[in-house]
Amino acid sequence: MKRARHLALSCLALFAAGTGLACSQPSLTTCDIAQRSCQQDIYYKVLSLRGDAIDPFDGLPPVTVISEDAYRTMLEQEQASTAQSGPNPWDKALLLLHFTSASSSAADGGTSDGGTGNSSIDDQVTHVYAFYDPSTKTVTIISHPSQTSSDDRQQAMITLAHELVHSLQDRELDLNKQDFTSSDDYLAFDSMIEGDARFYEYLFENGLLALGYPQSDMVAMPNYELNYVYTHFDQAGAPLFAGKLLIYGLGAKYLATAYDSGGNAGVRHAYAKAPHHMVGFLVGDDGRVPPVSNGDVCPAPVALALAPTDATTSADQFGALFFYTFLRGWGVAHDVAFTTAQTWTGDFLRVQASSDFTTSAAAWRIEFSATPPAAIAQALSATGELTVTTSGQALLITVSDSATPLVWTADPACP
Amino acid sequence: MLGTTAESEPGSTSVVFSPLLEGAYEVFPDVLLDLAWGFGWLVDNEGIGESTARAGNPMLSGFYRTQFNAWHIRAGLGITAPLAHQPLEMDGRLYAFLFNQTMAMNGMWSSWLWTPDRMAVPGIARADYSLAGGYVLAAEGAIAPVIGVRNGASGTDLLGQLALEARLPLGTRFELCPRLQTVLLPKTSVDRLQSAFELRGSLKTEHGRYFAGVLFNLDQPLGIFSGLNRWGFHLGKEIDL
Repeated sequence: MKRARHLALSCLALFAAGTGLACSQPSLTTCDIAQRSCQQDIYYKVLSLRGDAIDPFDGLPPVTVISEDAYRTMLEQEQASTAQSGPNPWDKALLLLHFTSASSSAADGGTSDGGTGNSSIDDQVTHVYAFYDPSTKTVTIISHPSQTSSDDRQQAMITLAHELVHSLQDRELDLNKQDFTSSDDYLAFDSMIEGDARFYEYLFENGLLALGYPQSDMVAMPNYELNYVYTHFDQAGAPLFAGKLLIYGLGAKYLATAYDSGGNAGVRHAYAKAPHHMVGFLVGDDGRVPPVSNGDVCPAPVALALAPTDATTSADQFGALFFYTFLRGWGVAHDVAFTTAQTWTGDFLRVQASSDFTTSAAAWRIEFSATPPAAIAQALSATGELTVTTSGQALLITVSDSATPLVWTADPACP
Repeated sequence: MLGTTAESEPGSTSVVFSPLLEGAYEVFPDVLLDLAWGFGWLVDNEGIGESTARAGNPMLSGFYRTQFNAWHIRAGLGITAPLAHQPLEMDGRLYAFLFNQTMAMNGMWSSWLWTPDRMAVPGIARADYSLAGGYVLAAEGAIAPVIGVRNGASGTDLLGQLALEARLPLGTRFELCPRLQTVLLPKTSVDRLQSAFELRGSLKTEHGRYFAGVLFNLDQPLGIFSGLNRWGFHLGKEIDL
């Protein structure tokens, strides 16, 4: 018997889509973030603010609630672990350049989202409400039994919203990314990560506290934050920590600008086009976005007397933001420091130490698209600690704690 | 079938088009092979030049079907190829948005066709009961182990879905098809069930049966009343085998 075989295909129809109504955003009332229902409400609110649907395989991340004592123990263990690392040429070199101060160290601060960077363990235990750990993909909430006022709870909710943005980011890009080419590259990435979380934290805060910022002018909030840091720079900690603090506002401003012009769609695309150098985030009040070069620069000179080896010598690109905070740390006014940092095209920071780490030195070459103002060299060399040479559109800064002056040997290819 | 959804919010409008191509082949009168493959295209206010397109997971299914009085029953097993991929890069948010919106516009129904970096082996069954006057009641369900295969998608989860629908003839060529569906979401989801209601109109022509419908998610997480307010619009041609 002949068997009939059939094939059928579904067809496509062309369709011109209309637009839906504005997404209804669930209202939120003050709640205790240690409670699961509160965490869920904040999670859905954050999804709504980002304009996201939901990945059914990645809901609310695991949330752990720990006591202040447990958090203190965790911080003390981290600090002890960091202290066990051996000597490296950076610690002293950063001190010589005034990136850090004697009362702070590279291991101190910058590990929490509390913001100040140089806070002590006591400060962190008291003020950190929550953090997200990409290695375990969990949010940890620190329970503060003494902080039960409405203001405290709202601040805790705002912090949790920030951390939940990180958990959402972790499904879209790799928060454990390690293959950074420089500190500048890392800071630019971190500026997007923290800026994104800060920006949606603003939106969340604006709704929760009814602050009244119009959604068409969300750049006002990062501008307020940034201007506060610029004008109270002496309270922002040492320049290294001030830079890590500024990335929150700078990243948020980058994304708020995209949001003001194109909503959440604009933010998604701004993410995809994120600058790889911090100079791309240095947008001033005039709204001008500095051009981003490829960062290529002549290597900084080397002090051959320190017998450079892999263990005692290291190099990095610090980028425009750290150059700005460096200048502020040496007393250069905001306007001059900021506009000069905007002309950054590349830098090369080489640090060296003697084999026994008793002598340290640093050479930093920064190149610009315009000749830096003379006031900068004057400010940097005022105390006699730094040696500053201006060569056309480049600045060379050297410093050492050597008892005898070092001879710096420049790369022959460099002017 | 072409699914679409639009999201308009302050400052932006995003439209997702999601064509699902499906073909069926009758191997024997009671055995069907079915191939379905979906795609997604996100266009927003940044312009078509900045649009984002991704492929879903193609699914090959085999069905056995039988008829018993007024009952038409079919059951089968499918397997998906994990072609849908979301790179963990700076543009990952665009891809995540596209996949998640596509699943949302379908009320998470057959989400294994879209979920990135995972494969699934769904068992599918459907029963239709014909009443006098051309009315039909139907139930459809599936259960699927879903396995993470790359990119941080790890482990195995179990998805399930169940739908009840009716075909209500209005005249000789037109049918109204209300449908209520519930999807069991993965255990990591805050809410484990997503329910949706769809109303389709189906028009019989000499070239086949065409349909248009709108789907509303009903409850959290995607519901239009208490959730993220996601919906979908569907256009297509039915397979008459």
